[in-house]
Amino acid sequence: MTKVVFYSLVAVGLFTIGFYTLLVEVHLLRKIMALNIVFTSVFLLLIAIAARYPQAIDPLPHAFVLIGILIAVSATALALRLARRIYQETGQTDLSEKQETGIS
Amino acid sequence: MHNDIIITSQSPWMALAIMIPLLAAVLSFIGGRRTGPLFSIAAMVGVLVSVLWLAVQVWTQGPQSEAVGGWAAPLGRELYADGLSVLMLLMTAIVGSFITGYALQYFAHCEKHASLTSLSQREPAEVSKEHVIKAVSSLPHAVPSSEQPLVRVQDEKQRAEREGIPKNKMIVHNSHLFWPLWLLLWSGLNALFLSSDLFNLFIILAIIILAAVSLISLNGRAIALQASMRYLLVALFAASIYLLGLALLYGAVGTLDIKSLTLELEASPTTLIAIVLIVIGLLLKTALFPFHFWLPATYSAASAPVSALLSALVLKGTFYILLRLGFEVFPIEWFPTLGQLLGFLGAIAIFWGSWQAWQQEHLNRLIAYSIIAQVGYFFLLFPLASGMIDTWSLMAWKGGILLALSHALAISAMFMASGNLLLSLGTDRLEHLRGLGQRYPITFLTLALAGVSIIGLPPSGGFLGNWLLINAAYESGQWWWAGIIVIGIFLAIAYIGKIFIPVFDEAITPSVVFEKTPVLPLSMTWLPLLLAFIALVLGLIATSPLTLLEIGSPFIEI
Repeated sequence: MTKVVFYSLVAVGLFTIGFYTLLVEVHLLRKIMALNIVFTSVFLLLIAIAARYPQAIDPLPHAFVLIGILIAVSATALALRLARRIYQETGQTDLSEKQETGIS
Repeated sequence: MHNDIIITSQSPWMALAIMIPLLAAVLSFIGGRRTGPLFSIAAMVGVLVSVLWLAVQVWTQGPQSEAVGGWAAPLGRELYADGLSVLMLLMTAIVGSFITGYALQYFAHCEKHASLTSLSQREPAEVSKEHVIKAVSSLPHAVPSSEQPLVRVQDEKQRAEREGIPKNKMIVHNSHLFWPLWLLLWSGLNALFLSSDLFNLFIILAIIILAAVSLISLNGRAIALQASMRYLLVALFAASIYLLGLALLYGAVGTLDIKSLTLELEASPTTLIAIVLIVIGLLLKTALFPFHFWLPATYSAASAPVSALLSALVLKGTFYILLRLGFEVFPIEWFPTLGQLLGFLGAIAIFWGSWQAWQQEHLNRLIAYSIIAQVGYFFLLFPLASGMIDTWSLMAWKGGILLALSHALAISAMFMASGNLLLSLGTDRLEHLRGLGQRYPITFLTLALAGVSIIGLPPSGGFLGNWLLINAAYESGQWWWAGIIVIGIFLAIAYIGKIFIPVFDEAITPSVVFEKTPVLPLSMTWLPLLLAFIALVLGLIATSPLTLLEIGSPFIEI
């Protein structure tokens, strides 16, 4: 098994874990962490793909990963802030619809 | 893209269409509370001018491309404009300008009558008519807090309640943040329609997601915060699936530039998985059945200008990417299967969305569910246009895009009209609209005109779009799609009609009640009406937009 295949398989495994957690867990913090795991798995796959030719490393996927990390970080920051606001407003740490009244 | 010569543009209009709103967003954020409207109007004029110039250039010279910073395609990120992107840019500029004008008045009005907005957020869902009347009659006063904070409340808020400051003072002071966010969103949308690189599109999607999420949460109500959180999770997950697809695609082909992909992409198992992932990611953001679950709560919880922006423009963004990829990038031998599958999902979306819309008791939610059905219509374009070389393919392509355009105009008019009702009445339950036809004639006329376009009756743009699709269905021998469109039209008549059943009944609310309701500024009622009117006559003036669509279209001329 080459390194590329190994890391790709790890990436797929991580993606599955993240996706499963995102679906199953209700706590917002866990959902946000799951989303980060999903993003990390994609980054890992990109890094693995960058090394697909044994002669040289392809730099372009590395640039993709850098930008991807930027996006993941800023999105996580926004998500954490939102989760805090939701907790302040409703006292809930999930998105259940106790509070949901609709616009009447 | 295949059959036209692409001109390398020397003029800066494409870059300007992206940079002007971006710059204005930064400036209005730094400039503080009062500068937002000023910069937005300046940016609006700038974008209109540059988009119009670009349209003229594409019209006279054909598709244009621009290497940003002098870096050409495989390494640099090029901008590319053809008839389709120009039409989308024009739609964004026109709808965006109307919504800017509306939002100016909307937020000024909300700030002036702060207690009014609190009414709609306090009111529990199952209030009786008497409650509403009582509540409406006590409008100008601050509504006392009826609900106890659930578990723990922010200190600031407790203090605010102790001192008798209405809770939504805090909500209102956020409204100046609408401007930088909307300008950022506008810049992102313009960039999306001009981009010709898949990774660039990922970045732009992320910008649009972050701006849209913040816009939804702007009014600070718990339900809006929850809706924006749900949207953020779904949209980011969609973006990550899209990125996963890009990674596989890059591994297989070695480029993400649309032009190079067109030439180099070959059918292989890896590309198949990559394409499936990319399509799922984009469908999740376009809210095609069965990926629509996040849409109704999100769109009905946001403020009226925000719902209008999201439904009219943000949804069309991912639809546009799907069009580009579907017809220009994906290997042609898979396309008929993919087209049939998307059309099948679209057909279910029409039935499911219409049925759900019919069952809703709230105007905003009804409109939100109708969007699901309408998105289904756009996707009927895929099976009908999958022939690629036939006359009917071009017909279906034009019809589907025309539907998307007229939907953008009509749905934003509807959300603005519905927002007006919500502001005036503090409720959008359909039964509370009983007998208000005479009281709010312009608002209901707006709803009716926009409804005509959404149903697809002549002479609206929706009618012409449906007609082109039905024709294409007959000529290509896929008559069942025509049947679905016709059934969809009848379903739309049912749910749009449902809005108007109570309106012309006898009034139950004594008109005395309304004397204390603040009157909405004139432009808030007339701007949506004008927009709905444009949607209505789009069917008559659609010849030149439709010709524009042929410039750089992926179909081979016959």
